[in-house]
Amino acid sequence: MREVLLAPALLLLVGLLALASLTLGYLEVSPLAWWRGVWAGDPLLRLVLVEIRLPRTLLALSVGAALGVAGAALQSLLRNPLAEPALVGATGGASLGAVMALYWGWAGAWSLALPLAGFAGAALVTALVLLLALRGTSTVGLILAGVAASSLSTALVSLILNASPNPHATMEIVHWLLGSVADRSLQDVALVLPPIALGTVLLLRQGTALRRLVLDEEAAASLGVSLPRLRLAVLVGAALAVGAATAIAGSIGFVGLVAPHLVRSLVRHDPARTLWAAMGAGAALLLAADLAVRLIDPHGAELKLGVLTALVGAPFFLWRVLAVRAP
Amino acid sequence: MKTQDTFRRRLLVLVLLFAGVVQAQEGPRRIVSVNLCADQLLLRLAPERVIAITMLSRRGDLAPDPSLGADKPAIRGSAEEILALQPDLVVFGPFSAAATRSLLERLGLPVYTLPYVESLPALREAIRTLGRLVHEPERAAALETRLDALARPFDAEPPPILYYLQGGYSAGRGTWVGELIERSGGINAAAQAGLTGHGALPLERALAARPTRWWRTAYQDDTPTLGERLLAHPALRLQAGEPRWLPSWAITCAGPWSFEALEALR
Repeated sequence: MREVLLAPALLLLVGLLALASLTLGYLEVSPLAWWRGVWAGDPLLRLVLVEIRLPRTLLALSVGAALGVAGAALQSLLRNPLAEPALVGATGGASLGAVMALYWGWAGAWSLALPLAGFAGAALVTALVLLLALRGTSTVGLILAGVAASSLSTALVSLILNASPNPHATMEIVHWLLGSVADRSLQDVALVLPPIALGTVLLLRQGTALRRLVLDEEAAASLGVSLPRLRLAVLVGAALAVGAATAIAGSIGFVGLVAPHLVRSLVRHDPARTLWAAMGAGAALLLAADLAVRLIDPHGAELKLGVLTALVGAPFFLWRVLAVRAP
Repeated sequence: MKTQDTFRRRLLVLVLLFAGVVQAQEGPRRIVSVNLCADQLLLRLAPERVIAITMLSRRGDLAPDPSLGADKPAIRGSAEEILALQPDLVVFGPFSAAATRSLLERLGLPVYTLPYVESLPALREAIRTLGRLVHEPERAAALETRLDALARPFDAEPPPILYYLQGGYSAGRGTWVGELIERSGGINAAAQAGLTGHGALPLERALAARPTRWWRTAYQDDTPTLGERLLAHPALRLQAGEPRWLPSWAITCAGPWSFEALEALR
């Protein structure tokens, strides 16, 4: 029963959160007056709705979905509940690529340079970590490789920003460490939505293969799963989706880790359906987090998304861990 | 106000006497300035007696007129450099290295700290105080007269003007930029949005006052950042049109030159 209702419930939740995200913001207008004004054609309200809140909502939704599905796919592929885009270095690598593209002027010269650099960075670092992890397949090896790769990319990001002669660049380090989708434009959305969609579709299509992998690698191979192909597909899919998402939104942790765990028991631990459900849960999580950063202190400096996802995600995650261990 | 003024004047005279600087009528002869804003005012009040200025005054983007004082050595502002110049007055800025300042004070050098100026009355006060300090009250009065002539409002209907920089930084109530916007006959959109002092403003709130013009500066606009991307946001142009470029020197230091820069925007 719960399974039948899961898809419509997730859709409804994401829909409601997206509607709230379009309704609530920094203008001091009540929700009713806001939509009335938009309906009546107030130029400012329409401008804010279309050019500021719509891109913001679309980005929160798609970045969350990308992180969720990538997290689920990586966890299944590595058969490790701790795997997630940030842990396998995808987020850090994408940040590094994006920072290089932005601050060395490539992104200004050629707009596609930004998502491409994000993808390249994510792919490179993830490939490195997966190579190390797959050799031993031990949890510790994966974590160590991921931590090393992430620290290295974080350090390089800070190094590049510190070296920039622009004083604003140093302040933007925090954006790359904690992420934000504030004040992005529709052009930004158009730039990253195609790679995110492509990567997400690629990941979703690995459902059957990932399901067969649950048995073990030899059994999966006997069922016709080509492991090298599967690994490559997940790597490219995750790098595309997470790389593009990080290039525009900075590195947002926890969503990719928590989203699959939130829904896994609801789909009876089926890896294929976990992919879909984690995508929805990731979108809902990030939409909710992005609403919260706007509403918590509308007159102060906006909180960064990573703060919220960790603040909300960590306790919930701990509770899940304890709940699983209890029986 | 009046009594406070005389009190300050007395205090100043006392301080100067104590330091043994007041050389009857003539004032200090070897003035070293270690602050960009002090450079700019002193080069207009006592150019003959300024013997060194800061390196920042050489920069075309920060100094209104870099040719002014081009013949004087430009220093970084370390205690060693200052001592070697044997000054009889060292003028610091509000954010200058406190360690250097107290070291020089301990060594018995007469030191003055120029306060941070964020309004027209504060600017007048700063000009007058510096004028007294360097014994050039007439030049100070002339500078004030020029300021009055320049600081007259635009006569058009006041438009909401948004000052918006990389990363969404803006200037609200109680800032020199706000003063400039209002003196030029505009309404500061950032102050309307509730910003006091300097800070970041989300784009939505920046647009809430429906600005029909926006100002930006060219400060470091040749080095790309994420914040620079924000200024390319289409919503900004759809609401407020193309930006008007304010030279950085117009707002870095308050002075008559700030209003001269505004003339170009008329």
